[in-house]
Amino acid sequence: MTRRAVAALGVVVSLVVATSAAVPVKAQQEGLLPPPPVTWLDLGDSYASGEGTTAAVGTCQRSDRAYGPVAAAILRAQRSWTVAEHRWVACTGDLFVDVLSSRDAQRAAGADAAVRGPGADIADGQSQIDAAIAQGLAADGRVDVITISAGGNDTSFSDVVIGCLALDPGAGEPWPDVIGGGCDVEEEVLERRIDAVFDGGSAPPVPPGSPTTLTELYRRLVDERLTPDGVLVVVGYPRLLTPSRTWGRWRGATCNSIAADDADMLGRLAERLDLRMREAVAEADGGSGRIVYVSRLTLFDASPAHSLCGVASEWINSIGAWLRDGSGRYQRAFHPNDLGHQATAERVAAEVEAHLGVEPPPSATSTTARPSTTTTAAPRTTTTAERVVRGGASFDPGDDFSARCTVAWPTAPMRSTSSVTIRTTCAGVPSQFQFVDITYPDPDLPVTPARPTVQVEGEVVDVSRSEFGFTVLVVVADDIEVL
Amino acid sequence: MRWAPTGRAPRRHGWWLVLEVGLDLVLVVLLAVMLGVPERLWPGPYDRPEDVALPEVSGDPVAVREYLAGPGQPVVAVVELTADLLAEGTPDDERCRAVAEVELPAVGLPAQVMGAAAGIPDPTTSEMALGQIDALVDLLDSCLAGDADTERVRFSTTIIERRLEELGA
Repeated sequence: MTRRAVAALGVVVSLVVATSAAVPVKAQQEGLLPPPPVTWLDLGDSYASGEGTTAAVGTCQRSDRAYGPVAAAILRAQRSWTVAEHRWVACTGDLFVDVLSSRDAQRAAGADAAVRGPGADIADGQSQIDAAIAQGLAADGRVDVITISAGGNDTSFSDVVIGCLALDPGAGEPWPDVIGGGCDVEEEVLERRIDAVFDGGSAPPVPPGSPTTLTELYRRLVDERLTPDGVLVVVGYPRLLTPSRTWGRWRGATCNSIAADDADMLGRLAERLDLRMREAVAEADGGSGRIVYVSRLTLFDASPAHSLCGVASEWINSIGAWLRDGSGRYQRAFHPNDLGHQATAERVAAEVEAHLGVEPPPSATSTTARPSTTTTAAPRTTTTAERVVRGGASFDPGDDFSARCTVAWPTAPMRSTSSVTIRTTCAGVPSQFQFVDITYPDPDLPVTPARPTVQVEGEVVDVSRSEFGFTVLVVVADDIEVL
Repeated sequence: MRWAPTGRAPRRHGWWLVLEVGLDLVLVVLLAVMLGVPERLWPGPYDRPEDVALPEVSGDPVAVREYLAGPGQPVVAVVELTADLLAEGTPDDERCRAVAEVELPAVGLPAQVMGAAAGIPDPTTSEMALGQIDALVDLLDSCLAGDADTERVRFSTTIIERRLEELGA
């Protein structure tokens, strides 16, 4: 391949990547300097802990691919921030009351709270805040950043979705037992459950002094756990399946074992939940600007939509994910995957940077060294159109590239008549490049979920940048060996 | 030379013209219905599966073919079993019971067959396979309840048969 052809291909690839990775613009934060070292706390349920990502483990199904840790990693690696303390206590299955109240206290108040069991990541006698204290947070400690996704389990959303499946993946033998039968709950009932999370009266009795609504929980977290300049980032829930009118005809009237009418009903409920969360954040914030909302519904809906059954790469696990990954946890289905958390993390990182990033002094240039308060990190990012230097590593278009890479499934390879493009993570590539997009001039490259690892030799042609300035390395390969 | 009218045509009433146009329209609509035009323009979800555009195979076709000949073999078995069932017409309760209790278990346990479908190294083919299992189970459900509905499973069977043929599997 000629260098001109490589360059042209690189431009096309970077356009494709920029389009697919782009997120709605709030602000370009490139000019902000890192703040003094920050403290960080991630709270919430499975949509925060990382259930559904490739590295989720333990009873809480926590993963370092979840949006909280990834957002912190982005700010460390790409903005030279120092996250001095990171407490991470989100837990799959938790209700919003679990953030501040232990299961013991809930049962004492009359709630029918499930027992966490021996060896659980959070002990029965601990709330999520207690667990953070056990990790080293001072008893009355405050942090600069709190992220949270909570409230979904209070609507029994997981049970609702499983109940909507025509084919119950969790059922055992014999065959007739796998017949699910479709949604078995009325939309009005689910609307009331959602409203109860915000208006009070959601199912379990709560211990005295516990928040009874999400709005109250947000206020309590700000009042009791956030530093004066800190920010609480509330992250919402996505639409699981694209509207049925957009489905390919080949699907008939069912997708991921959910009938079209049921999928559309779940979509309307997701919109209601998103709207109520947005309103709750605005109410709790009261114009202070200390609580911000990241709508995963808006993020995942952005054209092309990344929910299930659309035409773009899916940011949510399909019904078969748990069978494919061998985890045996059918709960992994219908949760955001690595890509979904990565996209969310970019938004979260941008919101955090917008609140805590430091305006450079008027005399400073864009290549100013980092402030003396952060003495352990690498020099502040310097970028030009031709060169990228971040965190001590540098990449120039034209540099040779050689690395062992793994395809970031479920991003399917994009095959044209003359080439294939795969999104990967690569050993030896600094973490600020969360993904490396590789184009190879052989559309028949036999890379599959079963054989996802490749040895790549090629050339860096570009560094794609999302709207927030986060980066993806773009490589055109001369040789790929599927390992 | 100019032509001159030799006589005066009888004047038609407006209502007669309207009636004539209306009758023509009715005839056109009837003809369109007979030719199946509405189905082509506004197909139902399970209409004409043989004409539905299939999504492209994004996995490696050779790998998919090899998979279906090996670990994915239960998927092919379910497709063949379903095609045989439908070839006999609308199945009765006894036939469906035999499929649910004997023939499907002979292919594998639900988790094994669904796992085989989920593991197909092409996302859309995998979805088609899971949809096929879903549709077959749906048929068995309705059939065992005494009201066999084959519309959906006929659609999904045609779709996945076309895909398997495309793959050469």
